[in-house]
Amino acid sequence: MLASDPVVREFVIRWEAMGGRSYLASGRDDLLRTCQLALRGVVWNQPSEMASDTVVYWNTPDGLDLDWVSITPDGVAVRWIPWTNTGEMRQITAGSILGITGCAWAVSSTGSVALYSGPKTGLLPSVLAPSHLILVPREKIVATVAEGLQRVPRDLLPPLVKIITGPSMTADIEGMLVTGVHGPGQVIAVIYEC
Amino acid sequence: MKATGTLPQDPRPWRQRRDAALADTTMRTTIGMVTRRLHLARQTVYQGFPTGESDRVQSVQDKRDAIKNMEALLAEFRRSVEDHGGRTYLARSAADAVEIVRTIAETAGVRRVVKTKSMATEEIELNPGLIASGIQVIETDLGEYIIQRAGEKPSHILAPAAHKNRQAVQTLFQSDARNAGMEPPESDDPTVLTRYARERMRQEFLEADMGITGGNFLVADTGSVVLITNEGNADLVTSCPPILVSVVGVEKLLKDWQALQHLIQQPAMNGVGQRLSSYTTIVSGTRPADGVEGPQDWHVVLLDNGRTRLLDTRYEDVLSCIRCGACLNACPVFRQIGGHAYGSVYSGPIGIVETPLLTDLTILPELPSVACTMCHACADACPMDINLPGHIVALRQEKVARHLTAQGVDLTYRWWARQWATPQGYRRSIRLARFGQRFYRKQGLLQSGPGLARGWFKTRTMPPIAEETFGEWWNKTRNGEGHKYAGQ
Repeated sequence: MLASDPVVREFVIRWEAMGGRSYLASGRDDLLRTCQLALRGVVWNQPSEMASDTVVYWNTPDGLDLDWVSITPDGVAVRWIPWTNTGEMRQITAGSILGITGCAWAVSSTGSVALYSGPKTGLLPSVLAPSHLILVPREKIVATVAEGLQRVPRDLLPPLVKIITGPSMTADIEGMLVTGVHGPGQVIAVIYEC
Repeated sequence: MKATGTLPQDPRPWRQRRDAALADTTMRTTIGMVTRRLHLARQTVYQGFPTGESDRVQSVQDKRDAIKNMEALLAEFRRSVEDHGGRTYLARSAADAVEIVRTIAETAGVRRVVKTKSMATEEIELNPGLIASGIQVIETDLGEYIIQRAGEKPSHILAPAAHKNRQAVQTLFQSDARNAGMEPPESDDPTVLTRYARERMRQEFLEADMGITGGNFLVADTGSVVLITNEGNADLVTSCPPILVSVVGVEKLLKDWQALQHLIQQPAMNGVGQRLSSYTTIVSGTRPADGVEGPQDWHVVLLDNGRTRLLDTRYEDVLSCIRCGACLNACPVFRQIGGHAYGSVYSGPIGIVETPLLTDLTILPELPSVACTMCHACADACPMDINLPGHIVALRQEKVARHLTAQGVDLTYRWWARQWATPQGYRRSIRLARFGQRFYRKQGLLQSGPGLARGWFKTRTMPPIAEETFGEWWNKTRNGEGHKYAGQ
């Protein structure tokens, strides 16, 4: 069970302490329902001035190749765009309400997830959209940042590696914490095992 | 290789900088609050996190080793970056660095630049250099964006706009919105002001021709530049513009990926008391030919500007600084006067040491003497174990040796030291002071003094010397018995 797994528990505690939100899902059906739930939350709670319906997602096995289009929940109108590292993708992502990505690894002791840039795995969905949903398979969670960094292929380094620990935040005006300054104000981790 | 560096300098003398800082209540309230909070957060973050401390200890060694091997690591780093499609440059001076970046920008026909916060680019005054060539430069860290609008300089490494309150920020953003043809922020709520900044800067990110960053670490064996932010602006700057220029001090070099694993959490732990900042970005190469993400052209400018001069000197460990700001937050003087009073880009204890060292005491040589109380709080706070108080004392000695102190000050201290080196001299000075103090007594307190002492009394009073001191009383009542120095 994920909820009683100490590694998962520590990840969730640290991730939420940094301002992230999280869901746990066991099995494919549960993952599907959880993603629908998270998606509803994002779409229904988006500020009215945004009024976008675009979601950019990684078309990779991280999401168990979920067919996002067919799992779109009732009452939610979404335009699904799979990430490709070409063409107008930057402008499309800039106008999206949500980016959905997988991760290369996650760290329980800091509550972090790591992403590598690649042809099918872009970093822009994690920074341009106001919300970011990350699919985290249980087996990708390691204990320390050092363990995670050891997994980075040194002989074939990704041009960009990014470790995310909570939402984009600033305290530059009177020391008051405000989220979503440049990147997403909301980061959601869906931790799952199948 | 060993040229003296140059740093920007506030033309106002110390007294004016100090008095202006002490009169700025907004700055003092915010800096006081921010520094205390960060200082406390730093103390608690190590608790229950043993690898935090063991990594720190290992990192101190890694940093010292990297400094010893700087030349070899520099060559290795440059090779690695160029193997991954980047270009590297070694800038001996601030002027060289500006010239290199300007040439890159002009050659590529760059009109608009987005920038992350970088002390190195503040140090070389890169923005005025680019703006003079007709290039628009936008600082994207929220604090830096605010002070850029105000035409000011950062007052804290991590909180550059700590001297601005929300009303001041709203006023700046209102006129900024007018210039940009945008809706101004409708209130001075920091959330509203931040949302305005997000929208305002978003198009700049997407349309900029070039991004400029600093760098927290350089990894020699992989040729990587590591950037740490909480806002995510470094991610946009490294992902969006086609050209990326990173300006980084040569002292940021680390031997390998292993050393990065030890050090990567230390800036956040010591700067803001978090185990990791929101975003850690590692740039190691360029985008694929048809890609839309990451730089097409990647340039790394390695800045010396007086750094390698410190190699093999007693001050060498200063090059281990990771710019976390922990010494600023711990310093009782910084908490009172903030960053501007230090007169250049580096403030707090590290600024006191680094500003004169990089410039060979050619600018702001007063810092080690005026801005330190010798309380050693910075030595306690520094995660890289830099001997800050020791260096401050050494710099004071160096100033005397090089005759950089005023002659009157020099003579007074020498005379004082000679007097108090012996019990007889001490007693003589007490008798002299007791005779002299009658001219400076007011309402039972000493309110002023002769010569240099007058300055000391400007903000202080002192009880007068007793008509009979304890030593005199003792000798009189014990007939000189039982005291080592009796009767002398």
